[in-house]
Amino acid sequence: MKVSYRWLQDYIDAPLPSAEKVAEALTMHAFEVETVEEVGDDFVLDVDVLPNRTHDCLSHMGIAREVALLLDLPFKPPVFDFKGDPSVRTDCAIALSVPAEKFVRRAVKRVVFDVKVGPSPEWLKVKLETLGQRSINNIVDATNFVMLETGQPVHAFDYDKIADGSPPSSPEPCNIVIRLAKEGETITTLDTKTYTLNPSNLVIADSEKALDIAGVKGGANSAIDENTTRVLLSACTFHPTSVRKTSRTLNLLTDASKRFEQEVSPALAEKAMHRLSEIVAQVAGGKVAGDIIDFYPRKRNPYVIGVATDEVNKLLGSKMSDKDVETILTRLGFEWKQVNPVDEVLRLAPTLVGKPYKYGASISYDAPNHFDCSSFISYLFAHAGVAVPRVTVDQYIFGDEISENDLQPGDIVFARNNTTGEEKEVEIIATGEKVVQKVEHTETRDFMKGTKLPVGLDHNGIYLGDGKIIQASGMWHKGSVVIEDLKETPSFKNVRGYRRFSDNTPRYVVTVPFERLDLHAGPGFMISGNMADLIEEIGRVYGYDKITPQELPPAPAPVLNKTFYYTNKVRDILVDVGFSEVMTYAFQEKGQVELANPLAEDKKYLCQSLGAGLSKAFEENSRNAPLVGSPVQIFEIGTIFSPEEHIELGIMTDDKKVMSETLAILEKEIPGFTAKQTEKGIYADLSGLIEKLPDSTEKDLPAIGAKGKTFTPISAFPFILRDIAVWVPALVSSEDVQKLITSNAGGWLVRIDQFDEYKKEDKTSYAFHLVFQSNKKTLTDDEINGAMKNVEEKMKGEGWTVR
Amino acid sequence: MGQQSNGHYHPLTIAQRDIARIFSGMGFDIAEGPEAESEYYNFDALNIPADHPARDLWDTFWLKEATEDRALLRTHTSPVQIRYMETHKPPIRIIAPGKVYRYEATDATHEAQFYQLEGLVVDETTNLGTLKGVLARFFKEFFGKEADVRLRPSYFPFVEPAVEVDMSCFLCEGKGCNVCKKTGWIEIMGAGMVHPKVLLNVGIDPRKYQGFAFGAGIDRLLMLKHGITDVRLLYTGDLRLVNQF
Repeated sequence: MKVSYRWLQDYIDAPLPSAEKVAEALTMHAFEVETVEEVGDDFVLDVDVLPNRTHDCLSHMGIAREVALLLDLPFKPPVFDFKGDPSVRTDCAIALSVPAEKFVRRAVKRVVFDVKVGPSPEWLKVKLETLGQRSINNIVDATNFVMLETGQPVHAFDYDKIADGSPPSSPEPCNIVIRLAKEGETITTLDTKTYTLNPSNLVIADSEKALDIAGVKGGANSAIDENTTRVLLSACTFHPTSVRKTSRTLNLLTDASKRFEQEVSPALAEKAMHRLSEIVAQVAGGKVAGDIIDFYPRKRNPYVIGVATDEVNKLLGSKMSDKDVETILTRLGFEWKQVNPVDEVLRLAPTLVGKPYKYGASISYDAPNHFDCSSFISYLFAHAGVAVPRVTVDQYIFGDEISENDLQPGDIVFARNNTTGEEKEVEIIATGEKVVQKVEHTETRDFMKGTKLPVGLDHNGIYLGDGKIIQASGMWHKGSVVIEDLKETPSFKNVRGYRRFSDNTPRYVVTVPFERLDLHAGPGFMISGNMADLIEEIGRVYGYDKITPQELPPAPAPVLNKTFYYTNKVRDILVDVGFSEVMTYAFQEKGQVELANPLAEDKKYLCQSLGAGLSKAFEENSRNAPLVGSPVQIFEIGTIFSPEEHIELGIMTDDKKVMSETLAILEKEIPGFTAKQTEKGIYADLSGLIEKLPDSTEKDLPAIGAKGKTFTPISAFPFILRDIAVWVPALVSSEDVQKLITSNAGGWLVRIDQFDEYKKEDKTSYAFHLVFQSNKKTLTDDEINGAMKNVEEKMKGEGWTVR
Repeated sequence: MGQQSNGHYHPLTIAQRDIARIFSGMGFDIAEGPEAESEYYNFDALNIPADHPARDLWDTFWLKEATEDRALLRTHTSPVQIRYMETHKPPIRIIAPGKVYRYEATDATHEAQFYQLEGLVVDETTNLGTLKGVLARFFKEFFGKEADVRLRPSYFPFVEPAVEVDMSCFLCEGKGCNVCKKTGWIEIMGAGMVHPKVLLNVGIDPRKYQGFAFGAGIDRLLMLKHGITDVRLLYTGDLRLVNQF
């Protein structure tokens, strides 16, 4: 996201250091800043906001909060409290209904009357244009400003273009409906494109037509223009999956859809609405309604994560003190306290006596007003900084086993009440509604999923001491949180065991701020937040540079992996014989396993044999034979799909003698080696072979490859060939001759191969193929003639006879 | 210049054997798995659910006739780690080198198929400090020069904390050159502490065990080490490349 340096300064109550320093702090502790560009008298930072921080940091406010945190400067967020004019009422102007409640977490609406649409003031234009955005008019610019500032996409509708748009004095409010589109319903968007929708797309509509593709783009039919005098402001929170599906199927990616599909916190909608009201009033005049319509059916409890300093240091390898951790938590702006977990559970539990029982109660939405037996326990321990699983059976496997004699306050007692083994119907005491209470599973659901218990459990409670137990009692008994006598209550007649979740060592309990959707729940025992997420927060602020590298404890080298051992053994044999290894493409024109999304028509299949790739490589290398050596001898060990996946060995050469010799060596060195011979090469199923071979007993392979090689780029220019043959005295070796040639043939000599040797009593004749090539240009015959002449002169000088 | 001699190993083989040797010296085993994988092993087990924006981080080749066991070409060798953890209890030290596939347009630095190296250590105490130590030793032995390791915050769904790993530039030793874009640091791989969800998925209790994982492109390591500028050269079967090693 492009971020303006000056705009960030608006939210920081002390002068910022240079843009470069800000960028560095972000890169090392939060997000990589790819570029810092000067734009006018401002700087634009291109911040690569991590995908799990888009909900709070695809915004200037969010990035400013990060910068303030990392540079230890005071953060000054905008004020989100705009009081409108009581004479204008949103609830008289519109009636909101949300049939698609499943996909709408929050919908906030507010009207503004008597606005004057026109150009934006200079400050607003500059803010947008610095970031490369176009200024359109004051109202539209205000919506873009608020999105760039808060991260909440907001929209303004022309109120009078809404069906039934009535004069202020009329008693009938217009209907605004957030619903699923009808099959074939169309909408023309602001950029004059028309889309055909279906019931998987969410729209904001009036009683006649769709006005907006919810979370993606606004419609042209309700767009703000120079005649607009009354606007409807809208800030909503849509379900991420719904927006993502719509955006993908319509192929419409916008700044809004990008944010919604990564999830936006519902708490932001109201704040953004206040801010939008303020800016609209400021730049376009008008009277903002005194009231806001706020559809917010399910408000989630904040997540609560527990952590201890030891745990932080254990995961990171750092050496933080309690004070370090506390300072960082405070700087992060997280609410935290230190508790003794068991004491805290015992303190909180009795305060919940009387809360009604609800089977399957959610810790996020039903607590602290409704509980079932295990959510009661999970909730309490989360608030004491101890993460435990959500369901009874999981809690039983999760806790430390203790005996009845060791039972202490804070321990959990498990029981089995439904001994019939059948699902039974129970009546909810509060409402008379009948619900089927399932027989408890004998298998864990989230924690160590699938762990089996010999007998099922269906109830648990917390021991308070003095023979008392507190539990969220089922609807067949008390139907609410009660304290009873452990020996007397019918709920614990059939005790199955006792467990302890924690000792009383102090822990921090951290409340996750509403905007940090990345610090959210997980399965198993992470139902109220994941401790590793919190430790990451602490670690990145602390600085990973402070962690010293440590060595792993020494461990012996293991015996080599069988496939690795044998495939490399084959390689060693082949390279020794003179074959060179190639690797070719897996995607081929023909095959048995087809790709659904190939890169090209002729790359649709996974290769069914290495032959296709090897043939191509063989041809190319044959053309380059003078450069690469003759005869061309290549092999490949690679995966093929015929259609089963397995490793194949392919060997290719023209020389039939070499081929059969090589095959013989392989059959000798590797027991059970067989290959099929075709016209072009031999192919062996290595997977099948390796399966039958014994495990390797080696711990390492022969060393290969020289060090320090620098790659010489392959020349695109043609090569020139020359041969030279020379008589030399018997004592002169082939190496001596080659040395003379390479020293005198100039820099364009790229290869020298001896092809003949003929000995007489007192002299020897050596003959060589020479290859010349430049990687900068095409060489001429004249240039090479010159080089050859040089060599011949030198040879004559040695007294040798050039043939 | 050379003359007809012994054959040549493919530079990627030389690199892989080198890597195996370096990690074997630290007690690491080599793990393997299929290249055509299930959606579960390639994504779900790694905390990358369907219909989640996290999937966009990998461009995937899907098989036309997908089944539950075989639906795509693996986009990383992380599925090998999952398979290994399902059948081995901690302590674990493995590397998983292997061919992976990404649906990407090819150019000098991008190929649709390449070799990836992943590593995994799971025991009762391993942490970001040992990650730094292991990688520092690996860089020194692979590139032949002492290297500093720097970690920066990042995001991958299967690790928490997640980091980008930078290595001090072995060419200019931190002074600044073209290879390190004048910064003195080369961005070389991603890493982090294995996400508790991933451990739970394979039946390892995250309260008792913790681990780190890292992933790097072997092609890239090779290209950096030897100054190869075009990754496509590695797969054309051209001996003018292979013969140089």
